[in-house]
Amino acid sequence: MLRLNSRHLALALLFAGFATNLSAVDGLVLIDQSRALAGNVTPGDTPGFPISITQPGSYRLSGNLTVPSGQSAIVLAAQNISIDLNGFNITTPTQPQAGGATAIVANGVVAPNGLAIRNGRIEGFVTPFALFVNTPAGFQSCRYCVFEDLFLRWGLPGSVASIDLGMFNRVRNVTAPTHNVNVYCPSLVTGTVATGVSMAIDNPGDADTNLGACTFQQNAIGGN
Amino acid sequence: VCDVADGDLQGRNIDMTNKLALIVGLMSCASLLHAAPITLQFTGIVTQVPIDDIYGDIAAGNLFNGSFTFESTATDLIPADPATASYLSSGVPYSMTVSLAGHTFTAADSVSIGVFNSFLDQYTVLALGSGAGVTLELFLQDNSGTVFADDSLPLLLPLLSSLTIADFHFHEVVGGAEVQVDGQLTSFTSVPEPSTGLSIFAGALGLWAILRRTQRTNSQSTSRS
Repeated sequence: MLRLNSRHLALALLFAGFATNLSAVDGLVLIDQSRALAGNVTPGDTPGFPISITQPGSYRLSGNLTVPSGQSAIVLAAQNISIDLNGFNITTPTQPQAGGATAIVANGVVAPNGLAIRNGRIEGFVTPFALFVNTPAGFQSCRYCVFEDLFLRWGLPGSVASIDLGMFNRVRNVTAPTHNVNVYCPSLVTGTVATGVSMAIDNPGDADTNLGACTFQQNAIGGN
Repeated sequence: VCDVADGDLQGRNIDMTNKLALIVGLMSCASLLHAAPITLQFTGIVTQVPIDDIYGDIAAGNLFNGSFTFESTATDLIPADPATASYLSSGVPYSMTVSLAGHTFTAADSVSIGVFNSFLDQYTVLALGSGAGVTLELFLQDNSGTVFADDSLPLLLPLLSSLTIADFHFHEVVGGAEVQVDGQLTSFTSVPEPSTGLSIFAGALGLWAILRRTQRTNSQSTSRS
């Protein structure tokens, strides 16, 4: 049994006073299926999917996320968010070409610049990321973002989708056998296996534009 | 039966004994309609301790046992989604308690039960406590997707043999120090709620008194006529 005397109790109460956030260690917020269904992962997050991340900070999966068909897993409503998948999966049934869901999406209002997503698998969604917002200057995708050590797979036989990223991004060690990775330059894509890795096509109506050369190194292209 | 009792109160000149019996009966009817806590028990074994900055004596292979109490009439917080549900129970007596390696951990701020009835079925229990510094969780998954017929709140846990995954997680944060414990569940049992039993007993007693009094009154009326 737990042995407590008054000194231990006082210390415990003191430490408890310092504990400020649920499942947070030094600002780290844990996410798993039960937390997703319960809601309040961040303020304003309602029960169920998608999980709304409304505050900058560090988030880590502590279990797999299983997402109902047609729904997104996570909606981003802030900048400078770091999501460590921690080796876990975000999965949904293989989505159809038309109307299929995306795993991690911007809320359409806040550009999710400074996003980092690492270390896990995202499967079944048409595309793992849709990080666009409509700014006064036109559409803009994620800038200053990092995607590394990820396995991304849609899974619809014979189908390929695109992962469209903005400027100043780093993509490293990503395996995406059913996706083309398109980036605005300057950006860096290395160690990636995908159906394609390319510079995004400049669209005069978009806020993103190619400002310089991209670096594509040691990528393996093809398949599907 | 409750309607009959109510009619008796309005329409008859009844004596003190009858009134008392009716009050007991009506109270029991009301309590049966009122929210009922349900307690379920579980046991398991620790499979790994990824982080333990706090206790230092929790190890893989430790056995644990615990229970959680939830509100049986909690409403679905995700009504628009027929495949996903979340049921919140908060305040006394809703909590989860686990005894592990000589420690007792309690999360008594809230108990959220999630039900996922889709291409696979899931049942999650998330209990938060001590200002959310303590998190106790159960995670059940059936890969065949046949355990649940819909996303309504189950009042009993599914058979362990029908599940693909039956996991336990404990997480605690104290002043920046952290402990994480993962385990596997090995048994489930339900615990009858004492107050429910007492309510049923009180109701039965009250109704018995009503019926007995009514019979006595009827027999007296018949013998007088």
